[in-house]
Amino acid sequence: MLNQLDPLLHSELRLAVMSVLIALEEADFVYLQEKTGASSGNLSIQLDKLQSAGYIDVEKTYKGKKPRTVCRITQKGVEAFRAYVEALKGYLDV
Amino acid sequence: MEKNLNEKESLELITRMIDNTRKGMEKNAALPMLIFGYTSIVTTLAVWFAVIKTENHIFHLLWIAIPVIGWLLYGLLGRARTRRDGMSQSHMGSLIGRIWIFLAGVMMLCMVPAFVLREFPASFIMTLLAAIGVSCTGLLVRYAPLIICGILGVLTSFVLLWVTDIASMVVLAAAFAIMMVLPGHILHHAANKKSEKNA
Repeated sequence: MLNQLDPLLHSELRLAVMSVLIALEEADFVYLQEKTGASSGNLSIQLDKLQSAGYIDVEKTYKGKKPRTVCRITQKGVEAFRAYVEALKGYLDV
Repeated sequence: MEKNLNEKESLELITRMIDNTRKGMEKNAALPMLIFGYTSIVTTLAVWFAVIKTENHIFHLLWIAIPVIGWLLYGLLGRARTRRDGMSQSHMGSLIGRIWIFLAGVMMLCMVPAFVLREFPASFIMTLLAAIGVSCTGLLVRYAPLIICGILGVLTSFVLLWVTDIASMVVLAAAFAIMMVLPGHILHHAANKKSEKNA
């Protein structure tokens, strides 16, 4: 029987964010926006959803006078991402 | 707005995003090699020229320009890049960064006995340390040009055990060109080529 795909990850922008963060230790909001091509508002909403699910940690700091949002994938996020990729492979018979 | 994907699109998106992130990391890795490579060459040739012209060894103090100018340029260019592209840090990048900070610390430490003991083979030790750093970086990121240039740097460093007079500065400049500038340009060119291919 095929595993159900995690609905939180089965969305274009959230999956793009998780794919970037899985390859990195941390990334800031500007970097994620540049890599995903998303608008600030949409990216903020999706980051909130991932944070609420415990998939990412979001740290709001300041660099000089400028606010900076740094995101990191959590262990729960890594496991969810791994399970999602495994489920995908099952669907595609890879 | 949320867009749901089918399974095939999801897998393609994951592959594309991870690939793009790696490409960015390759481009970032070239910058410190080029900055510190060129700064080291210019400083080495400046010391060589000044000592040859004046025969005053006080000009060896110019060595301090490598970490000072190198970090200054790296900070300025890095800041401009961060402002434009945002900031990211990979696990591998921070590991490599810690290795280089350690090696730079040992190199700075080597400068102390170099000023006190005339026979201290500072050029050999510093070149060897830098070459080990380049090779380790290459081994960690599994990038052949870095490994090869690092090994060539190790071999060049041994020449400095025999060439110990002021001519050693020219060997030192050549070593920096081989182990830092050359792989830096190869890395930068490869990252640019990949970006063009995907554009």
